[in-house]
Amino acid sequence: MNLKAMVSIAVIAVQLAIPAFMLRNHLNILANGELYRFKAEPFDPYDAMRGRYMVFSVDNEVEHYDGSPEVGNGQVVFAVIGKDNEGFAVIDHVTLSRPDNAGYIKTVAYYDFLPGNKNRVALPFNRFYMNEYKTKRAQKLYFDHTKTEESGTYVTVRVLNGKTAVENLYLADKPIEKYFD
Amino acid sequence: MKNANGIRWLYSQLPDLIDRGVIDTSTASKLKDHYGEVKYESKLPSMVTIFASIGAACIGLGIILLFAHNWDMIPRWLRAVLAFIPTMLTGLLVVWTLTKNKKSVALRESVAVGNMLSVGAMISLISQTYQIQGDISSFLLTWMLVCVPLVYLLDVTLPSVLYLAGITAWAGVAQMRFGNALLFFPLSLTIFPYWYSTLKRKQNTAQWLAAVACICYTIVIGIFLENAIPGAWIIVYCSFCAAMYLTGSYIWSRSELLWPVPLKRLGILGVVVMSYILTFNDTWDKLGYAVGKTLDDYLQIDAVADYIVCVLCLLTTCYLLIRMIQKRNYFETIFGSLPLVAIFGLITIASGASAYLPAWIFSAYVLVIGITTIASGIKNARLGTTNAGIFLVALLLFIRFMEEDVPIITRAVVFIVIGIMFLLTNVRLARRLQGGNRES
Repeated sequence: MNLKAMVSIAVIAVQLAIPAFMLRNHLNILANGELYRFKAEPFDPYDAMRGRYMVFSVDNEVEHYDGSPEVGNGQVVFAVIGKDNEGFAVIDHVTLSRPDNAGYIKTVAYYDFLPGNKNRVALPFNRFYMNEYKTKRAQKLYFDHTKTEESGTYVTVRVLNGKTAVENLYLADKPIEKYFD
Repeated sequence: MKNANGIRWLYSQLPDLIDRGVIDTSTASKLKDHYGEVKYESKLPSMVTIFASIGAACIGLGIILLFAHNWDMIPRWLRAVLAFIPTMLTGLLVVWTLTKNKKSVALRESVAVGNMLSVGAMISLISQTYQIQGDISSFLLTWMLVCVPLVYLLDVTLPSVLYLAGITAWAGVAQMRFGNALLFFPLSLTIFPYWYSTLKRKQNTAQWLAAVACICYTIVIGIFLENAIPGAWIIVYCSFCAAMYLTGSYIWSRSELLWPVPLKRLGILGVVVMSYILTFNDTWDKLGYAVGKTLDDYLQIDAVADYIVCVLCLLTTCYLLIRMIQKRNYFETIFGSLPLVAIFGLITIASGASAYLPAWIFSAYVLVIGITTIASGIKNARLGTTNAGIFLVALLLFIRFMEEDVPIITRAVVFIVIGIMFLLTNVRLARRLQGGNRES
């Protein structure tokens, strides 16, 4: 076997190792991460390559900001997760150093943070993949549900060492896939 | 400069000329000694390569879409295993091609393209199956970096084109998502040794790869420039277009390749478009304001990168211009002088002159390049070049007339004169060409 063939084996091994590492990290977060429920508003976009799937918007506004630390647009921050009175996760505040005793997400800030403004962070999750034939119906279910009730639509996210893994999307406190069983 | 097509035609005529007694065999062999051997390049292998690669790309994309269908009747673990299979298969093909030392360009190109697409599909499918979110910029960067070694291992061009397109897309996304596209430049240089090797081997692909790289650079410069100095884009784009044209002229000046030089054509197009843009008052009047960013958005590092790109583009153009002047290539020198004229325009604006002054300087420059093109076309008896020159002048006049308040009678007279110029030049050149044909 020539040198080029041997190098190519190493290259293919790296190619295969990348998704394997991604998967291992993801499964680790799912197994050991702390569970949070984020209120979500799902909708069904279309993508030429991804097909149909669900995209959800989550409230990414920072609850408490007193002007310290000074945060600029695009700056890497640690968003500390708190809980509202219904038990849903919210972004309580941001810090520039890794927090010790709290759940946090490593992310980036939106625009310049200023006291009194709606300061936001870019949350690293907004997609939920499901069978493309079910997404339209899922969106209709969500619209029908919001006609009568305001809450109950949320996404469960596991958080470990600042990294996140989406677990499931819930509609009226029931996993969305259960509506299609 | 040798015309390969002309020599090929001459050689095809030699047997007939000998039969008719026009020349004897010794004259024919002297002619062959004088002009040398002409390399016959068939377009067939290139076509096979292109279609084989398109086939591989279609299969790859089909596989992506097939899995994107997101079958939920298949268990999750099986879908994950299926996602790995295309990369494993194309990987085995890569190893087999190298072990067996296969020389077929079509095979190597299609295997590499297939592997590249299957890697992208594999990462996407694993992400979809397990709800791994990630972001598009890290996906594109990872995908491209793990596939770029294929270019060197299999000695292939299409994956290098895909790589350049991929890192260009990455640059756009990275700049949009709080990042910086600066890394694009060192990333693009990873292809440079391969491009240089194709150039050394006098392959047509060197020209096309250079053209693709320049298109990618044109896009990324637009994304990346922070315009910390008002008008920086003028210097950068003028220098870049001129450098493209001069590089094409410099490297392939004695080209005997079958294809025209795409880099030269892209460069000319860039020089002409930039020149016309700079003939408008508004371009100079709104200098520094025609950007979507405010001063608060600037990062110091980006501003420094702006200066570096400006200086690099300008120095490259100046070096090539000096070489062209040394070689007495005045036609190329006039086209390549665009950034120097632009700097002169910027100096007039900086010294407080009205926006009309640089706009008129550029109108004069367009007139000069138009007349030079006409002169070159007439001198070399090239109808296309002559008409292109007349078109440049006519377009300039048309634009000026639209902008300025010129009486309708004057417009009519000027357009009639241009029409007559077109007709007379074409008739005269056509006669000259016919005369030349009859003489031969």
